Amino acid sequence: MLKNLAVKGYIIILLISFILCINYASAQDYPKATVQIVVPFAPGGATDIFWRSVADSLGKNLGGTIAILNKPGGGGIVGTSSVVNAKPDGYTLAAGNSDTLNLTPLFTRDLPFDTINDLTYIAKFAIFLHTVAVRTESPFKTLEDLVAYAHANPKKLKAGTPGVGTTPYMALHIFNQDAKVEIVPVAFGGGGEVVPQLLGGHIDAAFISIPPIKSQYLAGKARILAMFSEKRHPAYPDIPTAFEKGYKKTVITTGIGLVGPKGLPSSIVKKWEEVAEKTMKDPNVISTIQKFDYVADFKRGEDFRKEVADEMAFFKDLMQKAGIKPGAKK
Amino acid sequence: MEIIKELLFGFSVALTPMNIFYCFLGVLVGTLVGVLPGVGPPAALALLLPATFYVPPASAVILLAGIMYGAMYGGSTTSILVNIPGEAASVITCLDGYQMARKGRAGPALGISAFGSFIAGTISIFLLILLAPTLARFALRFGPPEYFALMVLGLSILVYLAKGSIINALIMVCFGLLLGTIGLDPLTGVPRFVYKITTLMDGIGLVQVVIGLFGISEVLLNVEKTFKQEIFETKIKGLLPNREDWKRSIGPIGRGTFIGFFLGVIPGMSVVIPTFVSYVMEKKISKHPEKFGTGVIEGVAGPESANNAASSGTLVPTLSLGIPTGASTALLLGALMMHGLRPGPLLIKESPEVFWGVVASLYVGNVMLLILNLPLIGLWVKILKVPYHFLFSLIVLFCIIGSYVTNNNPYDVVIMVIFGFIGYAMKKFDFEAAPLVLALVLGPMMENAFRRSLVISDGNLWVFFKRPLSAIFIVIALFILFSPLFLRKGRLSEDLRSD
Amino acid sequence: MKRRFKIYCSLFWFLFSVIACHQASRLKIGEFSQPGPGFFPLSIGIVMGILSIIALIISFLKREKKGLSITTEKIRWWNIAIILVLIIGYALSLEKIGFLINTFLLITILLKVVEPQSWKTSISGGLITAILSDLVFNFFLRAQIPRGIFGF
Repeated sequence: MLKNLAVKGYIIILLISFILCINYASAQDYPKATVQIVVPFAPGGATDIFWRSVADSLGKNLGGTIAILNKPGGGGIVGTSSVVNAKPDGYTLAAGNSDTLNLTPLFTRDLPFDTINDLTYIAKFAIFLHTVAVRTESPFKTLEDLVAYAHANPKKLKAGTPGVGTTPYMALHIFNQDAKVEIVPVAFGGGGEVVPQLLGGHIDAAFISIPPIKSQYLAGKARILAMFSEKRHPAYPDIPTAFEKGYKKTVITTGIGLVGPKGLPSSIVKKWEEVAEKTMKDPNVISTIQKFDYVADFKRGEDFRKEVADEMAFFKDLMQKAGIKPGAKK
Repeated sequence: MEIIKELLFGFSVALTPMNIFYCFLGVLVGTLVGVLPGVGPPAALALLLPATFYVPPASAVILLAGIMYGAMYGGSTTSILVNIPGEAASVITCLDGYQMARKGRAGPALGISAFGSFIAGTISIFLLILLAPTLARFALRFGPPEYFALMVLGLSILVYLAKGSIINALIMVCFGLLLGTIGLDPLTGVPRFVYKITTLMDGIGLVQVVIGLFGISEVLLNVEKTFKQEIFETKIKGLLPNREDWKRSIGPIGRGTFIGFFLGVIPGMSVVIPTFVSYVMEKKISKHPEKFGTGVIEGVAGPESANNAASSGTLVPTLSLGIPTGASTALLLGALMMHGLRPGPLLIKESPEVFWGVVASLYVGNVMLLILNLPLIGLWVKILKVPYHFLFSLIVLFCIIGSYVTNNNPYDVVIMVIFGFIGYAMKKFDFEAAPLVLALVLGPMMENAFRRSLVISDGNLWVFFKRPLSAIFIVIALFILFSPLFLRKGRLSEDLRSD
Repeated sequence: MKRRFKIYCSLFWFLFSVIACHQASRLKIGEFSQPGPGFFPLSIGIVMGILSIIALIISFLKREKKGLSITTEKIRWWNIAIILVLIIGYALSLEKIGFLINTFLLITILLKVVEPQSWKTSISGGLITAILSDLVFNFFLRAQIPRGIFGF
């Protein structure tokens, strides 16, 4: 009899301690445990490297530990969707790149969630830039050369992109409209695949982000004709932007941000916004991420969401005008 | 000679106590991680990439390169012992390696695997040093048409891979090709055969398929009947390869090295393909091809050497041009960048201690692998003595973990199970898994290359013949496919007669 | 192998190829300068269909080999089914229940049911395996296999 009671009592104590262990979020003691940031891309990639480099500083400013978990797949959708359904207690967040949030939904139908409305936008941290490049042997020495040739020979130029639905792919289409030319996109599996094709002369130009082309550029094997931002990249002051050359619409960068499940308490979001702003102003952090060519660009959560949504509307409009109907069934 | 001086310099970097330690650590961890099914070099690198942040650049890369090699070697261990490919490239080793283990010859299989890898690694490192710049330039000549032609050549080799019915093997190839189309179409972004299942958007993972097809199906086959006979022969016949084994393996090792290295140089070439090619070549050259698949040592020696040589080959474009050739090298480059290094043509000028230190440590790593793994053979072989009614549960667990860990996605495990059942059914109905796997690997590359070629050539099909390299590949492929029809009665009629 | 089974197989693959072709044709086939997503699957589906018909014809033509059928012993279907269901259950509940508990359950059940061991062996085997593998994977390799809502 006694033994029975003891067993029951023991079980009750166990249950109570389990219940007590379940944390619920309050900003005062947030974070109480390790914050998990899901990076929906493979380790070693641009996004992954960014988060790993800032994780330390972020953790310090946040007052806790940050763990990075990679869940690649579907251009970022697989990992992000795992966070959509997580508990909104601030311990499971996701790296949200602007192209996953506003480009992928335009190219892939039947997504399991609404990227604009089913997530809490926490903050924007930085951007990375995209370029149009040719190999050194190419006859195009400047962007103007490229455009002139393209005008005279519609659909003759073949330019590689990292894939349908990526930012550089979009950049190519925007540029086509802006410069009124018809450059044909050839989709590959990421910037890393485009570069050897460019160097080998199998394609005439490449629209890709900086990291893949950087070492070729520095070694003199490739020329970066222009970047697609408003202002010149601080680390590459000699490379002009398409914007300054008169292509005012071709301004497109990929934003690196942080998102969380819907319903995240605003106190937690606010805390993150402060932490993000502080971290991205830290000169140490800035110099670290500059090594990988990111440019710090902080925005608060709601501003980030608005930016992403506006861009999405712009892309939608552009795609209609250009007659791009990907994901269409017959 | 300039190069000798550089190499000595490299050794001086690689042989500092700290770097020796890192090399050993990398090789050790790589082996252990590689033994885990489904966790191959990319996963191993990914797991430990964060840890390398706090370590000086040259040491970090030495560590990572060691992991890459270690994982590559560790993968073959499970292939031989329990028919679970440690990673996709070890699939071929399962074919004969596991059969050797069942006959009590796991020791020699593991041994020749270790030695073959070592020899291949050593030779290919020298090839790397001597030929890197030339090869890198050659690798650039591969545009979409060349890739397509090469893939066609790869598929044509399948004709010789099949042990049994050719028709069944061809059906498996079609099945594999179709499976490869599942997911988002890379050229248009259209989802194909995805049916709103999120996990399928990226396609069916090769790792999960392979673990299921080989590992789980084998377990299922073994448990369906009562264990009347031992799964593994209890009398272990020797721990190391004997004279006879060596005589038969030297050729395959040599051929495998060259096949592996030169194929590995091509960017995007999966390490799986050279192993298949080596296996088929050995089978074709052998005086007793029908024995392949029952446990011949050539079927292990060749592919294992090709495996290791291909890993070195993939480093050629990576180190000399800064171009990633696959998942592992992409991670390696990522690690270099994390340390502020600039991989690419300038690496050798700007950071010679990294470049030459890495090259030298590759050799050191190979030596360590050998020293580390030979004594372990005794240990691994003991594992086989564990009664199967306990061992199988561990195998199942490892299969689960292996298929989960790549993407931290539980549905990957479900896919693995499905293919486990499919593999089980396939074995019952005389369909082989190897052609399926090869088609799954080649299919997407082939299709993408084909479509890109057509975009670049504006729809002109002659593009494959106008370019010398791709024309050569296609001609060879056609020859391989149709020659049996002329030379002999061909396998089809054999199909009709025998069973 | 019984001729009957070969015929079933060929029919199965034929059916499969028909479905594949049908699904593929719902995607854009495209033209030569821009091959669409449906082009490749459709072609392969057609080839597979042809191959399965050839297989069907061959299985009719061949004489049936005298000899053993597929099995002479009883097959223990239960084992197969249990293993498959267990693994799926493990995977789907992993993120809620956690690695340690799931592994323990998996090994224990496998040991007990498939090739019956005593309760003592099964449970202790399960415990040891679960704890050891948790150490190796989560601690040493930092594989981050989920801990589940109980925190371990």
